[in-house]
Amino acid sequence: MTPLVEARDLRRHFRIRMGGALLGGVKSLKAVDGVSFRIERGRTLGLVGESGCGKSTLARLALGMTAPDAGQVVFDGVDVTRLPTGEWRRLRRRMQMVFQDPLGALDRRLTVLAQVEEPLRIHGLAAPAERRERALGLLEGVGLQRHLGDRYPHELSGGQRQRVVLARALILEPDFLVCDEPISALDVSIQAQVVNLLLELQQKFGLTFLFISHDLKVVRHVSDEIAVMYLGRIVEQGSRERLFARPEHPYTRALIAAVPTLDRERRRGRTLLAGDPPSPLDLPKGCRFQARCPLAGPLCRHIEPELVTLADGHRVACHVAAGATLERAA
Amino acid sequence: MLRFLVAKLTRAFLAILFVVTFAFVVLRLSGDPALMILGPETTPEALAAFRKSWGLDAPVWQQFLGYLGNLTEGRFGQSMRDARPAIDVVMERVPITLWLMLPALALKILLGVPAGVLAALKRNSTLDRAIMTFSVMGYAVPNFVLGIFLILIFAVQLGWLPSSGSATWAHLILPVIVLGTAGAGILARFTRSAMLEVLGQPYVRTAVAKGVPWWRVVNWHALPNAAIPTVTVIGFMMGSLIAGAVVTESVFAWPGLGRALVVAVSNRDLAVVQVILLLVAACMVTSNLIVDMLYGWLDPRTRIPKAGVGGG
Amino acid sequence: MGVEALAHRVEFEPPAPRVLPQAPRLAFRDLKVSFAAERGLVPVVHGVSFDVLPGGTLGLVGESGCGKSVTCMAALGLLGPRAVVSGSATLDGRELIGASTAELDRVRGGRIAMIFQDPMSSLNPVHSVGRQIRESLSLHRGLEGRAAEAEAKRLLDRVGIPSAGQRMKEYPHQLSGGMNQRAMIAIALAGEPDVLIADEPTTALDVTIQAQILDLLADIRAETGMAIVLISHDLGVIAETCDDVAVMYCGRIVERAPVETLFAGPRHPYTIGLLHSLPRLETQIGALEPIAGVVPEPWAAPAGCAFAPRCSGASALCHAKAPQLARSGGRSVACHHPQIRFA
Repeated sequence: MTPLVEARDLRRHFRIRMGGALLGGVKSLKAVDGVSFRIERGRTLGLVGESGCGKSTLARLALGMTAPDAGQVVFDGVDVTRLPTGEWRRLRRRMQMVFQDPLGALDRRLTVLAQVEEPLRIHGLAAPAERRERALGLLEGVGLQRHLGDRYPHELSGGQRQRVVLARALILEPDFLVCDEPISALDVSIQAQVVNLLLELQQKFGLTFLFISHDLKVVRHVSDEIAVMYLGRIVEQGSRERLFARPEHPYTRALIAAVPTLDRERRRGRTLLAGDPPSPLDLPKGCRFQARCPLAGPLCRHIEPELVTLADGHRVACHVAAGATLERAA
Repeated sequence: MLRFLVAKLTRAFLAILFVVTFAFVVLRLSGDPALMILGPETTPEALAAFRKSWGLDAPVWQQFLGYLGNLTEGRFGQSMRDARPAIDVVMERVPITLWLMLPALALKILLGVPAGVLAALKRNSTLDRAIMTFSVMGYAVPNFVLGIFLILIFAVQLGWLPSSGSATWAHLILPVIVLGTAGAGILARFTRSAMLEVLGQPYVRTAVAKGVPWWRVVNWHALPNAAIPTVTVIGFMMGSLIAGAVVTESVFAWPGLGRALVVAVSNRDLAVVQVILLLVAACMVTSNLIVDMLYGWLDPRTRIPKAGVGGG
Repeated sequence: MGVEALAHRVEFEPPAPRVLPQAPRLAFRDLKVSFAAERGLVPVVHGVSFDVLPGGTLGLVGESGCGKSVTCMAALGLLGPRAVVSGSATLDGRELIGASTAELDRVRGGRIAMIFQDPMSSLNPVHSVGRQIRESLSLHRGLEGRAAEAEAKRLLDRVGIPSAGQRMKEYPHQLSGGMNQRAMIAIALAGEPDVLIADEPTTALDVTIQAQILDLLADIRAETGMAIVLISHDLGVIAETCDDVAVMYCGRIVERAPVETLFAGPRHPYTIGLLHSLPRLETQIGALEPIAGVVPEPWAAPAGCAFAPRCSGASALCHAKAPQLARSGGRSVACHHPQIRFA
């Protein structure tokens, strides 16, 4: 089966001017440094990682909003990265994005209804009366009463605003939805409402998701497959069950261990990571995780591990984990 | 630091060059100096001779290149009216203007900054409203109106203070008050809003939660942060030290640079006007440089680069 | 916001005769807070009572706007002139509400220290980390010069900042978020407080750093015996750090119990809703059960139980009359129809 979305060895480096110092120069920030993934139609790839790991840059790359320095994004068989603007815009109708901050994503001066039907207007689809009817129908579809269509964004609650953003993203009937921290800005009791809504909409419209979050609990809940990012690279990727049952990469293990839990048993005997991640401007030679890694050996200090596929299809970029498991498999 | 300085100096140089060019072109286009200096009854031959002797008969671009060449050699030209170096005409007025402007600047800062801080600390109180009302009046009333008003009261009616001239310190009082109130009003408003912004910052709450006495929260935690935007305004005022008193000097017949500029412009005394404009530009640019340096000193975030840069 | 000179309206209740094994370090009694707004006084805390024992750990959990931070900040006089505070908050029996500024300055940072959500903006950007620690040492322990320098370095070491001597000279923008929160903790420790109030101390941090900070807090508590009040919206964070939990909703405590008891068998429908609406790592994946509706705005609070409009089990009584927090068997619930459901 061909995937709906495929990223091949994506790279995006930013040039950062280091001001101030006498010998200040330009440094390269490797926000995304060789990332590949495939998402099958109707499935969800969850992307977890901490701040600065490059997950938001990856989201923009996946939609073609940022041009990669190298690599490709193939959407439904078409290379998005090399597309003329007109064709890209037509394709973009089928790829939409939902951001963390719904208020920032909405225009304060337009009513909710106007914003939801705006994409139809921009793309010149449907007559005014039909646009309005479709927008109102979709507002109901995301759980908002029709009369809220006349409100302005600041007159809604955070959860309602995120529903508006969702309705606007869905009005063009996209196939692919990138959700970048869609519930982080919401109150605890509202988060579940939005998560459930996303899953319902996925069922109803057969949507394919790239779901980006720092929250492992939510990613586990919504994803079929999960990729863990660390400083611009995917360090582990696999099915949800496999990843949580037997995480291979020491970073994944630490990430899972660090999630606060109600279960006192689980808390015992876990290993916590020491220190902060290194600056993405000064990556060490070898494995990016070595400085915080309890397992790092001499090999890790010299050679950057590749993402290798294990016997069961699980992928990991770690000399120690891969080696140990390959032996086990052999 | 070096890179920073070089960039700043280059920009400063370009700014000055721009002012010089602009002034040169505008002055040449705005009237015939020969006619202005010699008077309308002069014979055409005399006018031509005057133009020739000052080089005014050459094309403007030639005149400009010559002027620039002279500048690089430190020659600023001759005053057409006084027949002596323009730089001398200007420099003898500088101390007279500073004698007026420095006390005025001091008054702006000593009055404006504390008033702004006080208004912020007593936000929405009667005191705050009173300070803000005065500050609006301070800069809304034109200098010449305030000047004439003060002369009428203190010089004409009461006879306490002289109305014009610069002979004694008593002559200073009225013009310094006129110049100081407007600036103090502006500074008070800026300081107030900077201070309000800082007082709402989490680190001020942290300081109070640490048990820091309120006066020290204000002095040690809030003021150094609020000073950062306020310094910009003070820097701008420093920049206009030389040229800021044209109107006030005229009202009080203060024989400073402002007066000299008015006289030179109306006489088309090109060299003198140009030297004054050059001085004004240099003053602006220097004060901007000083402000940038002060930023670095006040704000470690501009002085010391961040160790690591995060990016999502 | 001026943080000085609060308007106080103190109502003293005669202290109820209590027989307690241990006198509380911090005791809140019917604490109420309102804020002056254009539409009049908006009540945000409606009478909150709880104790913190010496060396105890209490988690205050609830969503934004539920009054958990405001309650603690009211006790320290940190709310500014628009807040109207009544009721009582005592530290070792001494009243804090309406106390003089001089007295509060001794308590703040000395007896009760506080750390906040965003460590970067909670530290002063123009002073080095070392100077900000030494300020507390000077205020509360009279340490100056060399002695203060040495103690500041020891504290930075204690909170796990590597090469503390060097870091002391650095400014907050040079440190990571986690390092800054450690520095905040060092400042808090400088006054050798009896109580540490940690207001969402890890919310702005990455999960691996969050775990480090929570561990550090637990270590320090074990070492110094100070009490901790941890304010968080995250039940997991509370469970990691605290022995007792109070769940707040719309300015009231709706349930209070030891951590294990609460998570094993929550009684209040809001607590139950919170526990079931969040995905957890240790449970099977099934549909989440969200709490319906939204939190009411403080100026439009319902007449009866504030949770009634969102509660599936609400009766006419719930809509008419707000339930009181009732104690039974080591736990308290404010609900007319407390449920028993095992999480």
